Amino acid sequence: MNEHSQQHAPCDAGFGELIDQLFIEETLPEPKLSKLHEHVKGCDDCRAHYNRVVLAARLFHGGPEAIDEPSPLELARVREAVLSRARLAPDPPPRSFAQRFLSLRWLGALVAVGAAVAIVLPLALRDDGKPPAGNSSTAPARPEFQTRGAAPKTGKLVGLRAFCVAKGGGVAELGSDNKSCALAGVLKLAYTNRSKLAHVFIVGVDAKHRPMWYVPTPRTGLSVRAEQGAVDKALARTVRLEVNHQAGALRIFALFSQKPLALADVEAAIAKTKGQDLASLELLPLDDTEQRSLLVTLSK
Amino acid sequence: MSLLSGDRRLLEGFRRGDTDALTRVYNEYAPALAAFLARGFTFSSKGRLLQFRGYHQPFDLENALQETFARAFSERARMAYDGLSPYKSYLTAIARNLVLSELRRREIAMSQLVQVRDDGQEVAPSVANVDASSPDLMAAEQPQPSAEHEFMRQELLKLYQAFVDELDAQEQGFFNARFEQRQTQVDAGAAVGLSHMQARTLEKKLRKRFLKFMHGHGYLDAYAGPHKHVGAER
Repeated sequence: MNEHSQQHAPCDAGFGELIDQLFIEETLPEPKLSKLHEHVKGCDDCRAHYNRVVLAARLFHGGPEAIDEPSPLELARVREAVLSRARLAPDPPPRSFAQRFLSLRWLGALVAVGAAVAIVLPLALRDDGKPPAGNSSTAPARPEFQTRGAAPKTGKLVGLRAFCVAKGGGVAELGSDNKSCALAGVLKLAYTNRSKLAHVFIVGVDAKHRPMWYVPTPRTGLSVRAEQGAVDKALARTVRLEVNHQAGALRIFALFSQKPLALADVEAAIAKTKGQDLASLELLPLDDTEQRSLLVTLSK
Repeated sequence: MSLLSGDRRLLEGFRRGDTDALTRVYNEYAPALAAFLARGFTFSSKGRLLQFRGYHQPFDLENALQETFARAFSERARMAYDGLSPYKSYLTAIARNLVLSELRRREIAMSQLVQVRDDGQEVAPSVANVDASSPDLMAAEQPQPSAEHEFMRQELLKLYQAFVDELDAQEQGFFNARFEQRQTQVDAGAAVGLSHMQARTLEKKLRKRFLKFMHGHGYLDAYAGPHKHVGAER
């Protein structure tokens, strides 16, 4: 694509061979494909080679009559690139907590720096607003984990965790020790639900008291099913902070409820809190909910 | 009724960003969108009617297709789709805006992709004030590949025919069934008395030989070497 060219770079043997391999094998493993695409974008020679090879490949998908249309393989390549870019890989099959503990990339950094203390304590799963059994009774209460009202008799064990994935790939949990995440990064959220509550609604409120809808999205508009017994259940959605978010404070609420909450009700509850400092806004005025919230700071 | 407006479950999955839903939407609309991007469209700028000729080089087209869907599948765009109007129109509008913003950004480099429709003269138009919402914006009637592209196309077709002519009868039979009639590997093999395994081996061999043939005839001069790994299998 001549409009991509910023500078001339030779199509060296490595990329030339990759293009040829694409013709013979009809596909390439994903890291190679992305690398090739990026290189071809800026390399006149490789782009010329790529264009000629792809045109030739079209002949293998319908003969001369097919030369003017992208082949199914071209369309499939683009599809994989689009899904990959949008971080829309399929959810992995359910795994045990131990498996997730060992394999989740975004927990890897935590494992490295703090071992079990960093993993277990921040869960701050509490019954009736108290620290979980086994925790020191002198442990300071964490403002990001709060219960609203009297705990139901069933006992609510719910939690919310947030992780900041920096643009460079580093992962850090957001909590009392670290509240800051750069806008260039993304947010991963996870909830725990050892209660019998069936639904969860996760929403952010920024410094201007604007709602940031995480789960559900505005179109679906109702709490989603909360997985029973889930521990650190990561939301499939990754929140790209550069979209809609602004630098400043952001409080993230996880609203657990038996019946699904309507987005309009949550929106109205947020509107009622206008003018309140996010630092002290630990609960939204919503009845029949078990709430957890985290205060984070988004930085430029 | 379009795919999304006729299937509420799919629409919900699409809005959630479910991979299956996005895949289905992509598969449904990608061919038509690729055709739109290849065909080009007309638009008005500074009072002139201009025509974007369309992307004819495979990489240009793949890139534009990828960018369009990446934008269309962003959360904001998914949420902005009303679920009622034809999604194809929505996608086309995104593609059109993408092209026009590229035209603005890379005015000189992309000037060869634009021509004035009013008098037919080739120009390098200023597109700084392109009106992206112009009602004049419409799909062009005919694809207008560049002379360079047309030359390459003709060269390729000649070489292709020469390559096919060199194949023996069994190979030609397989080649025709598999690549021109788009039969499955199994069926194409069976048509010339080959097992599936033999058909698979022959297909790979033919691909390598074709590539070597193209290299040998200068069609792939931009990248000349080393391709010994693709030869010597005849």
